[in-house]
Amino acid sequence: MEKARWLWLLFLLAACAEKQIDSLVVHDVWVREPPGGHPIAAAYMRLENTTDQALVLVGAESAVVERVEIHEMKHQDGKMSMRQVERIEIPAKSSVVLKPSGLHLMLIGMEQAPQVGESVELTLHLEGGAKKTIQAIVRRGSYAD
Amino acid sequence: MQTKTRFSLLLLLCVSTTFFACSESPPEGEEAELVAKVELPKQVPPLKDYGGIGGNFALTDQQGEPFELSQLAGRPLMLFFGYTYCPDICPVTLSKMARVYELLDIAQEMQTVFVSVDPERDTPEKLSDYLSYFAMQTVGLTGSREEIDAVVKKYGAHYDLNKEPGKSDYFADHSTYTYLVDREGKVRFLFRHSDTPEYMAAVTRQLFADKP
Repeated sequence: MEKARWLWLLFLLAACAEKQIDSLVVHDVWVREPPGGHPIAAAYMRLENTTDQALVLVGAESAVVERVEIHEMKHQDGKMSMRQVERIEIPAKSSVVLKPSGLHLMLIGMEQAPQVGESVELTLHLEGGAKKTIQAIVRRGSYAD
Repeated sequence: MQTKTRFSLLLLLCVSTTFFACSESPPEGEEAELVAKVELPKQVPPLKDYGGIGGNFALTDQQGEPFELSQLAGRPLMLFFGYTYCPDICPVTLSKMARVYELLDIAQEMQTVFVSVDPERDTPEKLSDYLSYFAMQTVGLTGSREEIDAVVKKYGAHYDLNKEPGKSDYFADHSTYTYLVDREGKVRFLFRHSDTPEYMAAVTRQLFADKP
C-alpha cells in the first residue's frame, strides 16, 4: 500500500516535470490592454534560460486565443515593420527580452478583449516538446514601456 | 502514524515543488504614475521649416463628419499616421503625446490628429472607441483609400498593409514620425519613435513663448 503511494507521488512529480520545463524561467509577463477593445493584444516577458544549452521557443497557445504568433518589429528609416518569426533562440545561461518595439507574442483572435487586472494563461512551446505555462497579467501600456 | 507523517511531508514537498515548477513569479504591478514634473533638456534643436511636406487636407472624423485640418488653425498639434489594430507603436506614441502635454501643462491648448492608414477596418466608430482610451483631445481621421494615400504622400509618410491570403487579421508597416504642426498649420518638427517625452516637450515648448 505504502509502495503504491510512493509510486503515485513519483508519477505526479514525473508528470509535472515532463509537461513543464523548470529551466526556462519567465519573468515580468504582461499583456497590453488593447485600446478600443480589439480582440488582439501583444504579450511581453523576459525568458531566462538557466541551462547550459540553448533553448528555442517555437510557439505558444492559449485556450482563449485563436492563435499566438511570434513577431519581431524592426525600425528602419523611420518606418516600423512587423514580421512573424518562427523561433526565438535563448542562448545558454542568457535571457531574451520580449518588449515593445521588439520581439513579442501576438495574441490574435481573443475570445474577448483582455482588460486591466485580468490574466491570460499562455503555454509556451519549446523545441523538443517541452512546455511552460505562464500567467500574463493584463495592464495598461505606457510611453515608458 | 510515522508513515503517515512521512507521507504528509512528502505530499507537501510534492505540492510545493509542483507549485514552484508550474507557476511563475508574480508579475510586476502597474508602475507608479510619474507625477513629479521632470527637468526638460535645455539644449534642443530649433524648430524647422519643412516647406515641401504638410498642409491642409480633408478627411472624415470619428463622428463621421467631414473634417479639414485647417479647422484647427490657431492650435498647435501633433499628427501621427497609424491604425487602431496597431499593437504596439501607436498606443506607445499616443501615450507619449499625452505625457508631453502633461509635462508642459498644455493639454488644453494642444490637439492630437490621428490619421488611419487602415480605413477598411478603422471606421469612425472604431476610431472613436480607440481614441477615447487616451486622455487628450484627439481628432481621429479616416476616409477612402485614395484620400488617405493623398494625405500620406503630402506628409512624406508611407505604409504597407501586410494582408496575407487566408488571414483575416493583418498588420501594417508604417512610418512612425510624429509631426509637430504650428498654429498656422506648418510642420515644424519631426519626432522619431525613439524620442523621449522630455525631449519632445523641450522642442514643443518653443511653440509656447509663455512657457518657461
